[in-house]
Amino acid sequence: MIELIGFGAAIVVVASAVLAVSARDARAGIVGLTLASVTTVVIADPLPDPIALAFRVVAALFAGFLLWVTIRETDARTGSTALGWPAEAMAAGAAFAIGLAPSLLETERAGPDAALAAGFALIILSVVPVVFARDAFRLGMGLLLLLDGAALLRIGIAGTPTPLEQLTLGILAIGVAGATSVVALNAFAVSGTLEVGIAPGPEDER
Amino acid sequence: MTVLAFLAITFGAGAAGLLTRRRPPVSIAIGLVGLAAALVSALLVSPGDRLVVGESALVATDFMHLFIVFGTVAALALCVMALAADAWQRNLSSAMLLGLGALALGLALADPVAGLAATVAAGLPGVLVAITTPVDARGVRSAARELRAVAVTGAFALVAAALVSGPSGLVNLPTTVVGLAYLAMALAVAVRIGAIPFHTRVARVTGSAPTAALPLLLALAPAGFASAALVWIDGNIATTALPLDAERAVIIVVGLLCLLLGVLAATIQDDIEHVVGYSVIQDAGFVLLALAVFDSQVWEPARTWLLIYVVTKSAFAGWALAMRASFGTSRIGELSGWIRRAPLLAVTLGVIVAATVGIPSLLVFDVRSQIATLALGSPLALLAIVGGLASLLYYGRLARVGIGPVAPLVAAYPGVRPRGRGWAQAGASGRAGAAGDEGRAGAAPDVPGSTVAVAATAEARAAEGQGREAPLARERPVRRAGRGAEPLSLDLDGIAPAGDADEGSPAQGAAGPAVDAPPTSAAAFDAAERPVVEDDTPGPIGAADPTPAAGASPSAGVDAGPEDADGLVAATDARPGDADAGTDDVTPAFLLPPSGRGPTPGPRSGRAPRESLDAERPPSVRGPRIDQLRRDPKELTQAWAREALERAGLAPPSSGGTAADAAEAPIVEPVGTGAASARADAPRTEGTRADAPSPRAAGAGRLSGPTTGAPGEAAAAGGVAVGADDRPVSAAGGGASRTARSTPRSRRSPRAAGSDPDRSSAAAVLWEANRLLVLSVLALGLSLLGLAAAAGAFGVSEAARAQAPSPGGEIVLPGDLGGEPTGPDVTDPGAGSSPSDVASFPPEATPVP
Repeated sequence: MIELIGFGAAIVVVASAVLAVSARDARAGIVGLTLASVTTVVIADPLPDPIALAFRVVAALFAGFLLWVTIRETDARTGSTALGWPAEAMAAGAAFAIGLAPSLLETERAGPDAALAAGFALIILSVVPVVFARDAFRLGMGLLLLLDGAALLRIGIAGTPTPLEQLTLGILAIGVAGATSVVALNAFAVSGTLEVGIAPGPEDER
Repeated sequence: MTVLAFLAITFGAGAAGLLTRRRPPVSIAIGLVGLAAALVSALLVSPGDRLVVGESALVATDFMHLFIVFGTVAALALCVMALAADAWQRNLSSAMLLGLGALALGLALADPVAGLAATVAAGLPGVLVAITTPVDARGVRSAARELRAVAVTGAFALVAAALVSGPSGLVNLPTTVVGLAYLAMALAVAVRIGAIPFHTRVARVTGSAPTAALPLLLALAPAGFASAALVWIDGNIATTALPLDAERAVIIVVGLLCLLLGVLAATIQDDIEHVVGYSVIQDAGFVLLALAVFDSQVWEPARTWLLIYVVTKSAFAGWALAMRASFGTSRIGELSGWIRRAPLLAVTLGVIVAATVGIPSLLVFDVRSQIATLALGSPLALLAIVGGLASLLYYGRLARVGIGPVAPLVAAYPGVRPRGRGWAQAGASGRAGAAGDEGRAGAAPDVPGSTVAVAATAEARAAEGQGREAPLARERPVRRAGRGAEPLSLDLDGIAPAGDADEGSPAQGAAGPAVDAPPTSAAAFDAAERPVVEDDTPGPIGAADPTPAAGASPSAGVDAGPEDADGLVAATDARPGDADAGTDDVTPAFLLPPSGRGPTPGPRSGRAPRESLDAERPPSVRGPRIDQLRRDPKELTQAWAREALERAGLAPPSSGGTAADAAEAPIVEPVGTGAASARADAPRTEGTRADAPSPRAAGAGRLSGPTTGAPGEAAAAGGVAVGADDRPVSAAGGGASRTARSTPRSRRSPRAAGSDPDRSSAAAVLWEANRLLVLSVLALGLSLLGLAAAAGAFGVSEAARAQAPSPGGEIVLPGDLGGEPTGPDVTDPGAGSSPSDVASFPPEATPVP
């Protein structure tokens, strides 16, 4: 039963992440990101300690709220994926399938397969925003997805994190979201857009 | 519990400092007091202290103890130096505190993954200080890169830790998986410390972040993470005794690249901060080499090197800060002869060299040699040792420049001891235009015969940058200043004539008359009228009044601050993009020279609608005076200038009757520095600033007192140097001017009230001497601390030796040593508690099947 719940949650995570990276409206992206982060927490077998679980959920909601506030005060437009959501969904699905492959790691694992699969999918989805993001919001969203994916990989391989680890992971997510807000607000103050200009290319050479 | 106290102080004070950042004096006070309390708390941490938290624990180790003590001392010293150098960044102390707290948490957590995550999180406060103040696109880019590096580091570390996490990780690990985990962790360290080829972030950060923040960004937080990674690798990878030669070779190559290319890059840099940055990269090469060694003998030298690394790099950054504050530049080519004028800084550099490079009998030399030998073996180890010694190249270059002929900027250095009246003049004026350089300190020269040339050089720089200031491409003129800029001849006599002015474009900073600066974008104008969004975000620059600009003043000396939306000329020596000059670079009033005391930075201006700001103005500056100024800014500002010059003794008293007569004139509490355009060849009065051109203010004269709400009009008012005595430039934002105006006449400063100017100027001179003395002494103190650590004082070696990892990466306390091993498949590394035991580890390392 828990496996089925975990599998369903993993699909929700991946679908939400696809929404997050594909949305042109940052508000939709935040909804997807928050949903993915919240759902990530429950993909574990056994489920984390209730307090740790609650903290991770609150941390994910707070991270989303920080980004929401940023968007509310600046600009809700963000750079969407150039490939379109079907391409992103297919890439994520492929990564998900690879993660489910039982022979991927020829070894015993302590965590559920669904976590590994969702972790791979999130990491794949986060690569483009992290490397090629031109605006702060998209960069921060990619970084949060990357951290969620890494945390899922950790759950899938090493099992449910300890409460202390859950605590630090939640703090890390809040910190990244807060730092993203700071960068985004300053970028908006400078240029009137969320552009940060760190994507590779000629612009980077300024 | 002692660790908990440290955490409570650092996190509490850091959060309080951030929450009160709208009130800079309060925030600064909280930050400094918090750092001092954190230092006391760090000293009181007793190694061996354990606090059980759930299934894990917080344990205080000797290494952690020394790390946080060194880190806190460095942070406190750098914050004080930043204040003294007028290079304060409003988040500096808070970021330092939060970073130190996270590092202490990460080093104290017995859970390896949680510890890694905490040390990764320690890098996030760096984003707050990587954003330059005043904010510009360059700083935003640096902050975004820093954020990306931190998060990517965390992801790599999590993945690596997931793959191999002791009992809870994979069992029956294939060699490939262990190798991947090892590489992932090494990659995380390389990204975090900015190792080549991931060094571009470091280069960008050193080019834009405040010098005082560089240790946090480049040394402290990365060293903490590297320490946690070392513990993890020693406890999870090295203990497997798997043949990972290929992975080790890759890491060694990267480490050698850092050592050799870092030296090369540091040697060819033209900027001291970049030298600091690349020296950090170079020294980080030894950290990578240590990661490539599985022999437990490397534990002690690796951790010892990390402790020394933190202190020496902080000292080097502090020295760079003192140099910049003293000479007003960080360009090496302009620092010729600095040793002749600042022998104390020369001693400081010598101590830093000794602490970093060392001599064969010194601990620092030995630990580097050990790391190199263990990583490379003979004879390749010689390459790494020579690479470490090669840092003498860039240190030697700095020294060689220092003994050269004295350059004009260096000639303006007043020294730290009075040398009579001539020095007093230089000392009092040397601070004109100080600071504001995106959190970096600067000082202006004022040497007869060189003043005009220097000002002209700055003007040439400014002109060089004109027309290149796009909203996302604003560069600092001082950065792109051509070294070969020809000094021009400037006629700065008298009050600069008014002229058409630009609309306070962001490009119109200290670069002077931003003739070709593009007008602020429409989006910025729109945003300018928005309510304050977030305190950390400066408003679209100079955009409060959408009145179109009409060119720019050709006069050298107008700096309509970008935060002039409230009708105040927040004239700083700001450079392009100085959008936040009003509040971010703030020196508290209690630290100002007595004669400059009074104006206190107020809340941000620049984004709020003018109407609301008008309502905030004191009655003395509302109504007809502002209207008059809007109608005829030239006349009024010239009147104010005359008044200021009279008070400074630079002009004969007039019978008044101008718009700035006594009954109605706003208080011109000296706000002006960087009065480049006021005049360069007028007779000087001791302590006066009106004749002190700043390199950055050469084209950015200071206008004090209320003026039109339109920055462009402010610029049109001409480069009038009103300030007759000293005030930190960066603190003189709109808020400062507002405060100045609201000061009742009865509360004017003695000089403003017409008292003996010599007395005030003497106080300013005294402060000036103290300021430079404080900077020099603090830099020397930090370097001496580094030298003591490098010599093995404070039990550095013992602390490093005690940081023995257990299986799973947990730190083994001395009290636990010899206990039952906790790992299922490795030998007991806790035997590393003594040198002999460490040397024998792993005695029977069992490869994981």
